[in-house]
Amino acid sequence: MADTGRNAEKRRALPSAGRSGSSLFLLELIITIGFFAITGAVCIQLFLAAHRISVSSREKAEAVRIAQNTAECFLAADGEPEMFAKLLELALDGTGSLQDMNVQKVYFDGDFCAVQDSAGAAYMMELETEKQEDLYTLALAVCTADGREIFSLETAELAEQEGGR
Amino acid sequence: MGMEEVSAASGQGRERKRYTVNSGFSLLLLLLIAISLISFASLSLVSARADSRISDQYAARVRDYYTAHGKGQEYLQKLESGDAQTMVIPAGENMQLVLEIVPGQEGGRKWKLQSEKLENTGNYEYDDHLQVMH
Repeated sequence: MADTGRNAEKRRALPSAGRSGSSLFLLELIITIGFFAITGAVCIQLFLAAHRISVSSREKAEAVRIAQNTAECFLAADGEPEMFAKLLELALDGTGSLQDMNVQKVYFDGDFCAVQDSAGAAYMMELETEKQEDLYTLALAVCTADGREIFSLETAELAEQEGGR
Repeated sequence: MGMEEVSAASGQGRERKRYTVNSGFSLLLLLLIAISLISFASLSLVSARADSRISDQYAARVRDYYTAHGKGQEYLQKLESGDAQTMVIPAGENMQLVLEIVPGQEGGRKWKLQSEKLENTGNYEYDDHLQVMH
């Protein structure tokens, strides 16, 4: 008899306990979803920032590589424009885009491979050579297609002279 | 916290097992996932920043070298005497470009560039002591 009484008591108490448990669970679910949303937003921001920095680093590393190759071609040619153009063209996979070496632009695609013209180019390198007596100077800048500079350098090289250096 | 086994007697006397999840378990699970995600995201950001710093340093080093080389060539262009000398040009942080100039040959320039080398001027004192016992 006592047991039956306890069961009846439980049966009376259950509906309200169920409601309370459900609302608690719902509250917890809401808190969980809210927390997840905040955490997700923070994580996405962090990953995006990391991605942006990574892309920028890669751009800079590639720009430095191209600039260094170009500068070495310039030094190897002793600044002489024709030889420099020839060497640079070989270094850039023979695009044939270098004609007049006073002020030149060389275009690159998104993978930093040289392309013939500006259509579809993502990056470009601007070259400016100058001659002061027997000293050739080179100024180059690697930029994005919209003109944002990534890397630039300036150097100079004396023209070769017989019995000179 | 965790899974709790609740037994309830059915009308036919057989026992049915019900599993319920106590409150807080999902929140705890999410907390662990969130901590992991934030840790990975932070590590990714720190790694990207370190790479970026290395790229910047490398770019500065390359720029400084070619600028120093250009200055050296300008100096050589203006050089009138054919005396043996050593020219030192700073090439950025902890680096210098050293040009060794010697007298030139007849019929050409008065000077000859014997060597051009990049030297490290940084004074590194590595701690190579390992104290095993006090």
